[in-house]
Amino acid sequence: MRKKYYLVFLAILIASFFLHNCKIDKPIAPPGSKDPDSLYVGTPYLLQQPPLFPPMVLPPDNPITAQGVQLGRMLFYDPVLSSDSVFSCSSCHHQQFAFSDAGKALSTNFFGLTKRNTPGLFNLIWEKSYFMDGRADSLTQQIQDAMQNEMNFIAGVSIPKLQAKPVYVSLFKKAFGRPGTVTEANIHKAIAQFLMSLISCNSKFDSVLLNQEQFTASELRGFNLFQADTIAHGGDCFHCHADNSSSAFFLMEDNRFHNNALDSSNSFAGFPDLGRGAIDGNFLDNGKFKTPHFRNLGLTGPYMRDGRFTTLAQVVNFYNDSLKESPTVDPFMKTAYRGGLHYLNEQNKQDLVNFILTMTDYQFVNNPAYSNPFTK
Amino acid sequence: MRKPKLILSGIILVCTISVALFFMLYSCKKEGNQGTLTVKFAGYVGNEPLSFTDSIYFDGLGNEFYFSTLEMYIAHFSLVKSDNSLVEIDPVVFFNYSAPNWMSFTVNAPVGSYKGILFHFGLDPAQNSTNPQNYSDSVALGPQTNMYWIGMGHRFMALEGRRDTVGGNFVNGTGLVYHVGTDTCYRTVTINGPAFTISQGTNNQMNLNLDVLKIFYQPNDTLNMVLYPGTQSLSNDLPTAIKFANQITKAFSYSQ
Repeated sequence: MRKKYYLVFLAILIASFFLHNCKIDKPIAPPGSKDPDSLYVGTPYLLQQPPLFPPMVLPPDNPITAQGVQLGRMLFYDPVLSSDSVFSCSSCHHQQFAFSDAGKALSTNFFGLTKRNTPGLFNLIWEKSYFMDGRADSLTQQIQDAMQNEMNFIAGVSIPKLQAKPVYVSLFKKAFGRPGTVTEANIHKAIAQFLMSLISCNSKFDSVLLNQEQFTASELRGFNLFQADTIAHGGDCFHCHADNSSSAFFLMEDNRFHNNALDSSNSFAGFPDLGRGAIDGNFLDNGKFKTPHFRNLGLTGPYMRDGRFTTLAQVVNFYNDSLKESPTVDPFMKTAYRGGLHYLNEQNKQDLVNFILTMTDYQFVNNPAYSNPFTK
Repeated sequence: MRKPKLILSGIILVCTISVALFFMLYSCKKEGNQGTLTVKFAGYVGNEPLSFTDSIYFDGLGNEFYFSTLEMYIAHFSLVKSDNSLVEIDPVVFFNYSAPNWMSFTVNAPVGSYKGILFHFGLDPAQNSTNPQNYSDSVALGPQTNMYWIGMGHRFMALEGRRDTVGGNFVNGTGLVYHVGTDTCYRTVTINGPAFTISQGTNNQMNLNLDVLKIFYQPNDTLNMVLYPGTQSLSNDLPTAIKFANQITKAFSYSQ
């Protein structure tokens, strides 16, 4: 009997040794909530993955929580971050205009007029860089840049103002887990969390592609023009604004930089705005800008980086007959050499505009979760 | 009486441990005699490295040009043994010259001597008919590559840039947009030599070189970028895509 027990024991010992050596690596445990330094654990904020959109990739250094989003929303709307307590993010980014500064070619901030048109803010979680020249690699960098260069944020001025408000002190604690966390970095993170929550995916365009609605005949013609190459006498919008074969389609932009033949230049250095080239120092990138969203264009005019076109009809006309040559014109602007497509008739143009307008998301611009929390 | 029992127990113990150790080592070791091979993609324009930054190239025939995009699929990357048998080491590879994470691939390869490599430009018909939405973003056939044409399969290659006559400063030049695809353009690329070996356990390196200039200029065969500045592989410009595919098979080389 003793021998049998001995052999059983031996077998177990060997088996455990064997299993120990051959097992697959254990997954690494996520950072524990039992961190002694962590006094508060935020409530995870559930971002809904829109159907057919590319998967969200959340920043690992800024887990999104309900408290963080709430704090970011308040900071977004509160002029407390500008040195003169006049400007907030919402001074130029209005919800009813998909967070653009509708009607204004350029916006007014602490330092005067902006250099470029104010873009809408939505679906930022899928962006790979921020600003038209892509100078920020992350949302937090983008917010830091905007706070400094548009609102004149001065930590020594604004942080004491925040610390003097119990509601902020409490929210910072709950959002970031430690007392005394009213820091500039956490301001960036909180606003980034709010901006990540701004998801626009409920337009007619989305419903049609989910087989819940149908395009009108004109919208469908516009969609087909959007999708067709110049070879097929199409609008050839899809090369930059993503065709319906890729998951980027629902974002309606390719996250790249292009020169869309907006300005002429006789040299690589001759552009009125160097755009991407001024950031990466590559003269082959001069005059290039990040592809803007195609969504919510019905709410975000005027258009182009300097807001030179006030209507979508003007934008379509530009691509049809006003393209300009320069050394970095994007190869997708295949008709730039002849000044544009030149084959769109008035019906084609109207169809394209009608299609574009299907991407207006009225749920988004009326979502109370994104509204000014200080307004009753 | 106790001594034989102890001896017997000892023998059983030693035998059991030996068998277990043998089984354990057999089970845990990597398959066969394998080495790790990393294949890095390298672009050239003639003798100059291909760069998208501040780099303008000349063909010596009156054209100046630059490139801004180079993305490409290759399929069934295989090592060729001396008896001409093939060892496939990767069924599908995607290269994007703008994205460091798509500039190389690392796989296990059987240890041994090889006389060359063989792969295919593009995707085989089965691969080409797959929908990116069925894959995760991180794999070569996934949506992140943004190479899929609905109804037409994948682009095998996207080569984009701009051309002008020398001295034109690109102001009145033309865009170069070669989007080559469809099963018609699937090609086999065989490169014989130099011979190489895969060593066990070491990180073997190979550079897969593509000379873009050779796509346009072969000794007796030219794809004239002035007359044919692009293709979308549609019916009316498919001949340009086919020409491109034929030419590119002669534009690859490899080095270690």
